[in-house]
Amino acid sequence: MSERELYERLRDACLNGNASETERKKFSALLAKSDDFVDDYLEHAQIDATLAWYGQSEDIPPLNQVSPVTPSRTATDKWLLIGVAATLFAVVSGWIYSSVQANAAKSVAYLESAAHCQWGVCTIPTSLQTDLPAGRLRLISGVAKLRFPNVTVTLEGPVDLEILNTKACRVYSGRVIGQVDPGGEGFVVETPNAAVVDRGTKFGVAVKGNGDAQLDVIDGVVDIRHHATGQKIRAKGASSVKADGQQLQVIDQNYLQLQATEERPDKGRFEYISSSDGEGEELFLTYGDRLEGNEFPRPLHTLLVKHSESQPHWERVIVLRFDLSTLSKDQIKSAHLRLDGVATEMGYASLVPDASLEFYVLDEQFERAWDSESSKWASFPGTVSNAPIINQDHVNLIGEIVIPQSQPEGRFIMNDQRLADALRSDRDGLITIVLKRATSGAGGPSYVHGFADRTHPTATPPTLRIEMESPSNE
Amino acid sequence: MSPLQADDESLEFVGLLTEHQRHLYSFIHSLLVNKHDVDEVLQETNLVLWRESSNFELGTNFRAWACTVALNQVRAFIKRRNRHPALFDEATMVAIARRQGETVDQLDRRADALANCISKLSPRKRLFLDQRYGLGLSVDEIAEKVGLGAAGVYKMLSRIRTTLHSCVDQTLLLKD
Repeated sequence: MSERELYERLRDACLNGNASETERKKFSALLAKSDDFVDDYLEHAQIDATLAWYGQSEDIPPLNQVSPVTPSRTATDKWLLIGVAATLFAVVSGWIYSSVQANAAKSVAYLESAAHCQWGVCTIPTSLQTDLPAGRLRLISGVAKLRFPNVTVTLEGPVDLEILNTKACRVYSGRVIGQVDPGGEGFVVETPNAAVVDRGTKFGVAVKGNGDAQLDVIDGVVDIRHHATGQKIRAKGASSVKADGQQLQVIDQNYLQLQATEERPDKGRFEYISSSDGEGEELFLTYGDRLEGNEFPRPLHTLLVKHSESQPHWERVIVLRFDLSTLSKDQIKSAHLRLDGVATEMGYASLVPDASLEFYVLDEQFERAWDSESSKWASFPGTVSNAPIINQDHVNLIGEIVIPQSQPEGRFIMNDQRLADALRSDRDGLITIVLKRATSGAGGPSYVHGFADRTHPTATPPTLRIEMESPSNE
Repeated sequence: MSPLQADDESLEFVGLLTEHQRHLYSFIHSLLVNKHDVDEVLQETNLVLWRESSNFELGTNFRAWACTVALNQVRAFIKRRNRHPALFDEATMVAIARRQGETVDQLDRRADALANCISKLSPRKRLFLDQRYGLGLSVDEIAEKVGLGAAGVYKMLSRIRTTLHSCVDQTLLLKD
């Protein structure tokens, strides 16, 4: 084990809190030797500190409720400070969003109150009485109230909710109560299987982990639209409707069947699954032993693919796994795979003609035989262990695209009916797709094509876009 | 030094203290790591800073002064808990504190880039973070909930940090 590897192992053990005393001493000695190690440690410790702040969300009483112990001036100041210091926990919990807010993220809602709240990892601040931009909130426990224009949405933890805009939110799981005042009519609460359009009312939405929802109209009127069937119902006070993947089920009779829209429900009904969702995985494999970084840097957050007959050791393939467990496979109408090409600055584009990229699906029996942490070319079931080629016995071709020589960056879409067929025939809820460049580069340092991975800070990760059709269309 | 007396000065001091909480937390965290220890020392540090506010001259480097106070509070904490071995020896602690002072601008840029990177984590990774940092569950408790061994949870937490670190690197690279 190199000194660097030892350092990284000890660093992770110390930050995870499971380092022995001997390991701590070793780590301390390594830090004392090198400012580079200290810098790296500080960067990782900063990440850990930031994540720890996420866990500190407190229901802070207003300052005027913090009573001084004595009326003395000093004591008052001290208690003022303590009140402020307590408030810091709420304020600081939102500090990491400063960069997001600095980009003038538009405020669309307001966190009005939060009682005994424990927040999970959110993408927007959870500071009490602050404006919120669009983003995802995960409330682990407690009750929080969001105010939109003329609409209040109360979250009862645990809730996973996304604020979409001033007139809509999406509940992934958990329970919320909506109260719409005059002027707020038309506010939409999306759930995985149905959308609730409020017409001026109070209603509750409870979404289970599998996406099934119960919609309770407490007072007033709401319209409920089922995504899969297009069925629309106008439900009135004191009624309940269940929405699963197949249908709306009215629990009582206080509703009116609305006329189905002329527009087919299929239009615009798409599922998006990226390599970062669920059990998704991604990696690229290199045939040779030499690795990027030994002689030249490798671009971060990028999946690389290359084929050069004169340089077999640099043969690279990309492997993607998508989690299909949430899909109703019998309703898949069509599908395409999106990839965002990014500049790799590796090799010369002029040494590669317009490049054909082939897409293969891995046989399902090998689905669990690889992972992004430990798989190598020799052990991956979709490649031949002792040759820089795909193992054709274990994969099936499902499509290809051409990447222009002059334009290796930008969005590429592989749209082929064989992809939809492969998704439909899936049985274990996972699919592995292997990308191989069929076009060889000329001799010399030919270009290495790259696509954004799931950690890329600006580009989209590999994503399946799946068009679903309603059962009635089949 | 001019002692703080006027209301305006007190409010300005409170403002400085508020503004620098995250830096102090990160600073103390880098020396102790354990969340409960960090919380305790941060509280002690805040009280000492307030008590010593008259010794701080407005307009000078509050952050440097506050971190010096925090380092002393870490030392006092370690001394109080002498039966519990410290994470670092004195020389290493001083080296970490010094280096933080020298790289403060870079660390601030990294902190600003971190938000967007966290938002890109997969739901599965966010679940781990919720349980570890939100609910404060132990590794063993998380392991039981997600059906992994403790080693798997440790590995996952390390992977998440590495993912975020790489994402921050790339973000800053694109900005430069």
